[in-house]
Amino acid sequence: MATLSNDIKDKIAQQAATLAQTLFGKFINEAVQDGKDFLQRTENDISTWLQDLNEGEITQKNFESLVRGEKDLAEMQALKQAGLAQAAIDTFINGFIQIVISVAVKAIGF
Amino acid sequence: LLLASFANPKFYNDVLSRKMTFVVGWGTIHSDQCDISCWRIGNQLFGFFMIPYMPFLGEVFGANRFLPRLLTAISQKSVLIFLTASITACSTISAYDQTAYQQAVNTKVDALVLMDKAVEPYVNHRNDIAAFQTELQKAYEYERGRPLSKITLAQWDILRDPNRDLLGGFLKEWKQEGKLMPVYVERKKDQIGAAFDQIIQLESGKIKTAGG
Repeated sequence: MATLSNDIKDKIAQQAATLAQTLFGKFINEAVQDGKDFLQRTENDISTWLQDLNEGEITQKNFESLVRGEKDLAEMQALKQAGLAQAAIDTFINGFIQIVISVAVKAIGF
Repeated sequence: LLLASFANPKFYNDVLSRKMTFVVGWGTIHSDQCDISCWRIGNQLFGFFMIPYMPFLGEVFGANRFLPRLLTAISQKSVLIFLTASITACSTISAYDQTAYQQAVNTKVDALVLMDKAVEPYVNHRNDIAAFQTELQKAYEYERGRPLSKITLAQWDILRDPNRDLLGGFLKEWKQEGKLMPVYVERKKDQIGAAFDQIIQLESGKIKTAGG
């Protein structure tokens, strides 16, 4: 069975590394920013709810529900990040396949 | 037919059947029935694999001098097809779906409109609530019917659960309390709106396919 030369393998590895850097670098930056935004939002919200509670605009039960709701929201956000990570992996695999085909076909001489 | 034209006549049918499996995404390889459509080869990539051959196909039919080169290339490319097929994997999450996205957006808007009414008695809005719950159920069932939608379904489950503290919990609370305090309703609207955004942002971040 025919095998790929080292030159082809090197080109594939080089392009795959660039793809991974671009794709996952972007994903990680966005995920970190998303997490920071969430923490900031939660901090502001809890402060507002405490003020609402002190002013009698909401009940103790309402306050507790809002705090528990924040936990549910955090779970939904974690699921979103997990899903986006899977989508990034799928995109990488598709891109990697295209790199392999493109580099190898070029090496054959077309 | 061109795909197997270089094969030993003794194995012609076997070679042709094997190669056509990679072209159409399913078929017989050495007597085994195979469905390789989830490898994303076959129909979707058929055009891609054929691109390098295109300039030559016309020439081949007009001038035989290109035939040996073409056949050699096909032989080499068939190795590549096997190599790429062996490293491919199925998708791990569903692709972007415009209907799912639209349903999540519409349900969010309707949920927030309904929540505004929670400052009034629950019994006055029974019909609105029932209509909304039907819409919510439709969006959920649509998602449930999609392949690889486990994560999005888990998000909908959290949002709808009456024993949690998002939309399902809010509707349950409204029913139990009769009506809710205006500031509380506003705060819950922010929270539940953000929860819907998690579903919407996940959908919009999925891979967009040609059909999507």
